[in-house]
Amino acid sequence: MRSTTPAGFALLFIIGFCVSFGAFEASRGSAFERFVVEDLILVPTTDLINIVTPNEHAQLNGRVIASPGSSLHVTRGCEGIEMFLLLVAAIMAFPATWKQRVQGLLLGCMLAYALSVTRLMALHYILRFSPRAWEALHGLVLPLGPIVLMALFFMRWSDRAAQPRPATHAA
Amino acid sequence: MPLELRWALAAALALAVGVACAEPYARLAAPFYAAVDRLISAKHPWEVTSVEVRPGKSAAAELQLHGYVRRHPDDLRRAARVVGRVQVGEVVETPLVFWTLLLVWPAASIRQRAERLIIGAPVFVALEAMTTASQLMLPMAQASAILAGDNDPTTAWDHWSRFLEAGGQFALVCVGAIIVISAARRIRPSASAGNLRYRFANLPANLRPDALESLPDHVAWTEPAARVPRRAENRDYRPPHGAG
Repeated sequence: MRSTTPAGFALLFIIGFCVSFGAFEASRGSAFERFVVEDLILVPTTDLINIVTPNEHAQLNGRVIASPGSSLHVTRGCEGIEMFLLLVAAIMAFPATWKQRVQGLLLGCMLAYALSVTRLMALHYILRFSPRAWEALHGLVLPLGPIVLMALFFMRWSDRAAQPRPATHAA
Repeated sequence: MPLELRWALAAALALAVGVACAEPYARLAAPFYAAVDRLISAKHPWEVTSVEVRPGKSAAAELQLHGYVRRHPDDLRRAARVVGRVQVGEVVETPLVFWTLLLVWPAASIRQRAERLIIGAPVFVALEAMTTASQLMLPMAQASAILAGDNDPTTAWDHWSRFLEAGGQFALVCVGAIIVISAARRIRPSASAGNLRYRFANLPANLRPDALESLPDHVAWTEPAARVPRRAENRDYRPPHGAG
């Protein structure tokens, strides 16, 4: 396992983020991008809204989560993909074993997915029931809050990954 | 208090401050964004008339850039009027993340924290120019491309804007803060400059010369570094002891 300075980590992190962002941007409009954004994120979000509040009768029209009382247009950058990109870049930049990285990516992706869906659901309900709070929550809290939670997850993971492993002795 | 809990509390507090102070901050910083945008537009056929906080389409406050675009730099006639918009919540994201990281990141001393703040100031100015100020300029670049005949323009400004919106702003601000923290860590007072106070300050109290404690701050210790007892340089040194 290699060691790195904070500045080295920062450099690797931003390079990794640029690469993963570039790769995802290149896939915009492709079947892969539609599968990730629509099938994996938007369809389950709409289903969950209907399960939690059956009277909403939410429907997914393209990338618009529409209900009789609201219409949430999920634009580029609103899908929650950034959490996955930040997670991948941060975990790959941190000096850890591949096993630790895979564990971190699996757990982190599950968290990022849950946060993406929860965030979109929250946006739908805010637009539906409290449009006055929309600007404050949509502009700052809901984009930044999940990223902060992901950062806390990364801190926890990196703290464990950095701990020296106990020495084992052959019998 | 566990470190994660400390960070979580700091983040919650920062978000609350951000919600409360987003609009006042945007008003306060608007002249800076206007200055940066005028500087950028000097190299383009663009004219920035104002940058200020105004009610947006949904009556919520947003930072708006108003300006004009010409076909060529030497054209007298303005060809398009543009309005760049950034939500005040997005405006406050850069200072919120940057200063929270710098202030909450554990520091060895108040001096080190102060060093971070001093080094952080110019980095913060650069980050503000790269994030919010550049986001405001996006419609000008799009208008220029449309005027040049491109009906579906995706300019370099669009790519930059997408990068910022896709988490790039957070990544960039974090990297800026980490570099500042890293740079502040490297700054150490020089022993050759007579600053032995710093060296002794790291020693256990029982090895610190008594005279050091009584020295006023403005008095420099001029004893050469070579005369410092060798054992005193070892921070973990403990005087030998034994049962009598």
